[in-house]
Amino acid sequence: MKVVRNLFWVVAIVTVSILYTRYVPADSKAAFIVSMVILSIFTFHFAIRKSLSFKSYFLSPVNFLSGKFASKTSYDIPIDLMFEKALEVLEDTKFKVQHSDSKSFEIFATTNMSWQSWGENLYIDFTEENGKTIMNFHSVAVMQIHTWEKNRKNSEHLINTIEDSLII
Amino acid sequence: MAIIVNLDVVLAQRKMKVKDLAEEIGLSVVNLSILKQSKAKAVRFSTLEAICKALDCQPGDILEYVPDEN
Repeated sequence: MKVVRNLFWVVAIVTVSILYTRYVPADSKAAFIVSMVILSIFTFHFAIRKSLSFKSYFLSPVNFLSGKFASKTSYDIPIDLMFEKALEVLEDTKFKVQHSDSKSFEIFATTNMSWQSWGENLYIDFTEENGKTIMNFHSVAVMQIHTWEKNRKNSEHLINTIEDSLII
Repeated sequence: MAIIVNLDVVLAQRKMKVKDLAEEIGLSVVNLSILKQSKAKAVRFSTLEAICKALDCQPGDILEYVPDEN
C-alpha cells in the first residue's frame, strides 16, 4: 500500500510538472503569479513554523500543503513521568524541543531541513484515560503535501526509543 | 504485577532521596522514579548492581516476588 501511494505521488508530481511546463510559458503572467503564490506560502510557513500559536493551523485538515501524521500510544506510567520521559528521549533525537509545558503536558519540537524534507513540526500531548497515559503524537511536514512515510518513521522511531528507554 | 520494587522502602531506611541515588549511580531521576513505581519493562544487571552498591543492600531487598491473585 505504501509503495502504491508513493508511486501515485511520483506520477502526480511528474504529470503536473509536465503539464505546467507544457501549457504555462515560463515568461507568462500566470507562471509569475503561480511562482509568487508558492513562494509566499513557503515564506509564510517558514516564518510561523516555530510558533506554537499556529499549532491549529498546521494540524488543520484544511491546510493540505502540510503532510500530517497522527498516532496514539498507551502507557502504564503516570502522566507526569511519561511527560518527563518523552522530553528526555527527545533530547537524544534530532528533534529540538521548542516549547514544553509540564502543566498541560504539551511538547512542541521541530527538526531542521534535510535533503528529504523542509523540516517537521512535532506536537505531543499527554492525556489520561482509564488509569493509562495516552501519548498523542502529531507530526507535520512544514511544506510537503506528501511525506514519503517520513512522519510515520519518525513516530515509530520515537515510540521505539521510549520503549527501549523503559529498560532501566 | 508479580515483581514488586521496594526501592522506596530501602531508600527510606537509608534516609536517601531518589535524586541523590540517581546522581550517585548515574541514572536519570525519571528512570529511577519509573523503576521505583514498578513501571520499568526490565532492569539491567548493571543498574541493579549500581543500586545495591550505593544502598549497600542485596537485590532481594529491592525486588520481591508476590504471586498474582488470579
